[in-house]
Amino acid sequence: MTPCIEIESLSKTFIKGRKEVRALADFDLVVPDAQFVCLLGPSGCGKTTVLRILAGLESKSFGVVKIKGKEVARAGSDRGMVFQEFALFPWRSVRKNIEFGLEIKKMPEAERREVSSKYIDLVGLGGFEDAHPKELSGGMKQRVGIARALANEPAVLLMDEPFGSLDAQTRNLMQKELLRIWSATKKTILFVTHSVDEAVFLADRIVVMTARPGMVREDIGVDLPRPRDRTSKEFISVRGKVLAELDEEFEKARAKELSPD
Amino acid sequence: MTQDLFRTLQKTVKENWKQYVLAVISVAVFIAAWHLYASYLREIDSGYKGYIPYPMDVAEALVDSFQYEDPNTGLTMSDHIGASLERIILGFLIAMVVAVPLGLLMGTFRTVDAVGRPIVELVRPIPPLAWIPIFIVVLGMLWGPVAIVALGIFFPVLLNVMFGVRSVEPTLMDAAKTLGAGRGQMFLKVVLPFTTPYLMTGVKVGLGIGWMCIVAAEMVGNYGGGVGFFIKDTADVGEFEYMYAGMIVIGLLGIFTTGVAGFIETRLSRWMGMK
Repeated sequence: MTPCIEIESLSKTFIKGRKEVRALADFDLVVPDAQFVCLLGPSGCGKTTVLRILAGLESKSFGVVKIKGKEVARAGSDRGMVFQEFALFPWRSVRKNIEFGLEIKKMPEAERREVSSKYIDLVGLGGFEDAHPKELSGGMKQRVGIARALANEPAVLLMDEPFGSLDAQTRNLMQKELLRIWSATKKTILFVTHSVDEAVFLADRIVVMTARPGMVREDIGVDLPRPRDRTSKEFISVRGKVLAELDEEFEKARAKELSPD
Repeated sequence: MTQDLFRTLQKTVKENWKQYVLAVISVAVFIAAWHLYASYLREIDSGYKGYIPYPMDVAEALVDSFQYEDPNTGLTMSDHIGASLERIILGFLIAMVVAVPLGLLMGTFRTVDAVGRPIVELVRPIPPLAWIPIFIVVLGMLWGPVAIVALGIFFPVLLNVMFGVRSVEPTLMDAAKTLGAGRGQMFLKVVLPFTTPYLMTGVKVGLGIGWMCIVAAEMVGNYGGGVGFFIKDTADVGEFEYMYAGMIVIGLLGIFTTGVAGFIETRLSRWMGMK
């Protein structure tokens, strides 16, 4: 069976001022269907770049990027994306935000309503269909963001630090909600975060990236049963292992920042 | 719509009654001071025939101007208001038809911007009033003033639309792309709605400038009257209470049109969930 995501020797170089910056170098990743993978790494390691290239929002310099065996060219509705800044359309109600992709597909209105209702229920936004984004809390905004991405029925859900701007309590709640939604939809999820705790709580598999230029440093399977208990010995032991890997990369990134070049 | 307007008015009155009381007091004090000054002028010179009439006489002139038909032109104040409004509306429509598409194009495409920008920057600092002599000669008494109004409204609308297009948040574009939107859909479903409140701001500012332009243009030349013409005409023959009445009419018309534009602006952006 073809894996959902295939990335092979992906490289990305961009020009910043007069300097060439190598964001990614030989990044490889294969994700089977329905797996929940967290990308973790020091800031600036290119984890968001991987996501944006997958989404088709940025071009690659070199390498192969395939979704369900098909080479990725430009952005398309087969890859849903959830943004840290929510990126909801402020002039559209919750329902109209969720129906955006369906309108683009020219789905008839009755059918559109049916689909949006289904996802409104799934993410727990019943009763808020007609609210505008500015009337919602951060957590609820991101529920809309997730429902909007899912309504297009993409093959993969790309999430770029989706809970990064939420407070700690809401963040924990949203993590649980995401796991519930994931088990209901069985989507493949690629989730970028810089929180080790979040990654261990959510992921089947944690991919730790190196400091720039980003490549895979360690691929760690998280074999803990769900729901996971953050205070359990096993959780803390996985957390420690990931943290140790990451710390080294943080140090490297910091050393690089301080060294003149 | 009218019911809506009424309800909003009711609500604002309820919330801001202190402000309204103060506003009434401030206007009353102004009129009283004016009245005292007018009395004083007549006290020291019983034969005073100057520029400062009693406020009461101006009020009377205002009421009278709607009934009194000028023997030379056969026009009443209603005709003058109609003539000025017609020019404002025509000028407004012309400005919108040109400024909105051009603003969208200049905001979207670098090349169009590079071509249009130098001309815009060159013409923009020239006050629309500077065009009065040439426009009246070339375009005549009706279209000359209309063109001047159009020019006055044109730039605030153009610049606000351009600014609106450029202000579209990149993450909204990214989101639309990942939801499958192509260029055309991006424009219709993201850029246009995002720009609408900016457009309304441009309209509001533009209308204010439009009224300034129309009065000046009508003073120089007009066809079929106009409030600006009325002000100049009455001043020329020394009927100052009528002149002030005309000025008050202009002020009220300006407040009315920008008020309507402002109402539509806030309504629209609230309905769109933008503010």
